[in-house]
Amino acid sequence: MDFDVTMIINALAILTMFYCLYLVLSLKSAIPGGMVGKRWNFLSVLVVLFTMGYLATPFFDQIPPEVLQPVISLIFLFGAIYVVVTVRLIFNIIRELTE
Amino acid sequence: MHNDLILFRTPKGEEIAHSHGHEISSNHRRALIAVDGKTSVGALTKKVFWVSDVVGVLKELYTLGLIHDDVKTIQDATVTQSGGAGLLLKVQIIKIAKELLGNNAERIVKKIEDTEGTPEALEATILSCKKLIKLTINDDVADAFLARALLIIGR
Repeated sequence: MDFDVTMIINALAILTMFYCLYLVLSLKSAIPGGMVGKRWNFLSVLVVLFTMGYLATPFFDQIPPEVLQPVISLIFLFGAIYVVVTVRLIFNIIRELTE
Repeated sequence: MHNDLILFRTPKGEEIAHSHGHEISSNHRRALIAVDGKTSVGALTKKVFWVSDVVGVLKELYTLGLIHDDVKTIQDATVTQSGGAGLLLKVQIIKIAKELLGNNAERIVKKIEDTEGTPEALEATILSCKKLIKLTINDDVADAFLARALLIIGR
């Protein structure tokens, strides 16, 4: 039962990340540059990395623990970076629109 | 006169529209004031119910040289109203946007096209466009666009 729940959550996470990947790539043409455009490229790279990481989650039980731990730590690190970049981007947009 | 034709006041038409003389009849003056450089002849016919025989009057105003459909005829006009010279300003600002932004000018052009032709409305739109360019296209181009566009409207 636990395995099924985990599998469903993993599948939902992968689907969500693919949707996110679709969004960042399809919106790219509308944001060719500028403040948002530069951050958008970086966010797109992070989303690609996350998508690859999420696709690997079903195989995590086959990865040795000494490799898995750093991989999970890296995913957390990149997740934190993603959040920081997004929050700063929103902050800069609001500042630009209100100045 | 084609229904899709968009007319605007010439400098002479501007002068007469804002004067209180008797160069034209009150019916003609009402039609002249209704011409705004944005509304087509077909739309004017439906909208301007207070003018009798709209198409006939427009033809006469056209013949008198008070209204025109060629933007080049208003190049020396003063910048005080949404039609006429305001249209020319928009054309010039759009030209700058296309020159600076190339293929990325589409959204900026639409914003300028949708705005009123008064200097105040254009200034607000130019500032808004500058922010949009800075955020989504190019920081440096945004400043160049702002400087050149403000120069056009004399700000």
